[in-house]
Amino acid sequence: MKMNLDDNIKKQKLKGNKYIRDPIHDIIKIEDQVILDLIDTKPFQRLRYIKQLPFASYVYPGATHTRFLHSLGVYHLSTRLLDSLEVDDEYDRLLVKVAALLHDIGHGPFSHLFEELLKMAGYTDRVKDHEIWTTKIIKEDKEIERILKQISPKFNEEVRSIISHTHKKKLLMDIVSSQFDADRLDYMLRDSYMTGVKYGNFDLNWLLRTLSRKNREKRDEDNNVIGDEICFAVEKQRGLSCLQEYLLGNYYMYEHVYFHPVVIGLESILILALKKAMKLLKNGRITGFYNNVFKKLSNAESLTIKDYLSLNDSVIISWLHDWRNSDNTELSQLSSELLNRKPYMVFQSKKSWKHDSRVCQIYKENSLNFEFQFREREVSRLALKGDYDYKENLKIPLKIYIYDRKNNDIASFDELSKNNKLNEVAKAISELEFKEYFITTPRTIEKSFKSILEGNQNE
Amino acid sequence: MNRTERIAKLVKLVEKSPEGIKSRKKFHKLVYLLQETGEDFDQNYIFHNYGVFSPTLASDLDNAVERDVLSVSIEEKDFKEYIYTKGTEKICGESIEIEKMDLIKKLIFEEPRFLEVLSTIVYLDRFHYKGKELISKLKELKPKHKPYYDNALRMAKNLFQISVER
Repeated sequence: MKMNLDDNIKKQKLKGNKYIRDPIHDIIKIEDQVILDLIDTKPFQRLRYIKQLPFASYVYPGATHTRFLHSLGVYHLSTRLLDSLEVDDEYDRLLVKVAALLHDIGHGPFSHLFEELLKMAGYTDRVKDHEIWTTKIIKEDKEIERILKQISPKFNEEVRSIISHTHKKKLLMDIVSSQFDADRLDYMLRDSYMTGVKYGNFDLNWLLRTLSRKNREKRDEDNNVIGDEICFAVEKQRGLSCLQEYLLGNYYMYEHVYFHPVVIGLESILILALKKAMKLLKNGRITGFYNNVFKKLSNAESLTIKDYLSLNDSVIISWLHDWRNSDNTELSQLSSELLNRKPYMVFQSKKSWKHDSRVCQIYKENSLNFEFQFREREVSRLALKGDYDYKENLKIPLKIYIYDRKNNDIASFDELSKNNKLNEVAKAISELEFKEYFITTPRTIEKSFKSILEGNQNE
Repeated sequence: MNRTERIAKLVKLVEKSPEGIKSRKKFHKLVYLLQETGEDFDQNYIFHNYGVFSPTLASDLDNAVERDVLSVSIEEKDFKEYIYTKGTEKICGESIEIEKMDLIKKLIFEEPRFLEVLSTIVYLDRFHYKGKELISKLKELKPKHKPYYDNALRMAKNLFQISVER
């Protein structure tokens, strides 16, 4: 069985490697036919039409990079991590490379915004989660299924198990998805470079040199030891400063790029425009262009893979262009504001305002529609602690592992900094939390809203 | 939900179990299963160490104990077990209700290991594992939990409409 697998992997190796030029990694090498074939599939090619940072280019014009390029970058970095961690088994290597390449294939248009849209439309978590769509597409898309079958009948399931975090080898999963994985390493560098915001830059080459594989105890929820696992760790003596640079960089990228007020302001308009359009469609009152998939979304009907894959950024932007001329003033206004870069005002607050009667009063006094002209988003800035939605007063541990060569000891970043075994910077990073509400409102009520916000701070 | 509301809901859950909730494992699996049926606890889940786990729930439980709205004792047998009972302090938000009482009655007295198998089945189903593939994966992830498979699969069918032919 193993010999067949090895034969299949050998057979699909390219006779001459292919190379793709990349602004971040310079040259991305492809040595497997499977990878080339997967890149050529329709689901993967669709990622060319989904931006990595949907509205960042309205602030940083260079940020036009796509999920297509990012996925190639993640593939490349997964190979580098495999090399650093000396993972030699060819099957494991190919498994990780394929999972890394396909990890974002289930993203909807406008990336994470689409998940918010699905939730708003009434879909459950099972439908809105892009990782679930990723595994569904890998399983059911005929092109991808045919390609992966060439390696072995089980290969498809193993790729999905990496993405769903159910694979038996933690090390392989962590390379693709963890608090310190190929995905984060690539998007930090890529987003930093393409926006021109230098904070996200860090010494990748050195950081990779400080990684090693380590054995640690595996514990259950009650802290009982239930076995061993192999993870990877950054060496404290050589790698801590570099790691801290990466962690701080992540924090600053959130402050200056991901949560830039114009970005949030424009995201809000998109969500509100689509929300309005859905309501009009449900009531049979929409004028303007949409398609059958949008109709399904409006009624929270079941979506097929074909439906899902038919959507990308360009499709939705084309609807917005048409909706500018809608008979409905609100929809027309929202569409124009988005396309002409007229973002809503964004206020930051430590508390939620969506149920505050004073806000409702301001909307009423200004003849504004609260349902379609107000959005509140809860955020946690140190997203390295997990891609969790904001939860008030939450402290999530930083589970990046540090190996102390002197004491031959391994523990998580948070554990070590809590026990003062790292430096002051590490302690500060460990305690760094930034949780806020971003409230977006039309600019016409900026003064009124500001005054209740400031009044609240003085209370 | 804000944190107080999330914790109030956990306290409500503990109230429903006369002997408290035995083991964190049980707590995590129970809340996951209830959420999967639509009861909102506003907890985020990942798959960790071969089981569904919520870092947000872990943090809320610690906070609940700090505030003394929940009490925790540790039983040491062959393994450690954290037992959660109601604390001495009251929490605002106690008016928060749990809707799926029937489901809780069915699940609250089940063993942690049973809930572990059931929650794994539900998680796999969410990620489009079906039929024989789901069974095979379950055996891979929970090889030592075989005695619980049949009942868990039956309950998965009745409560979550997950149909698996063996």
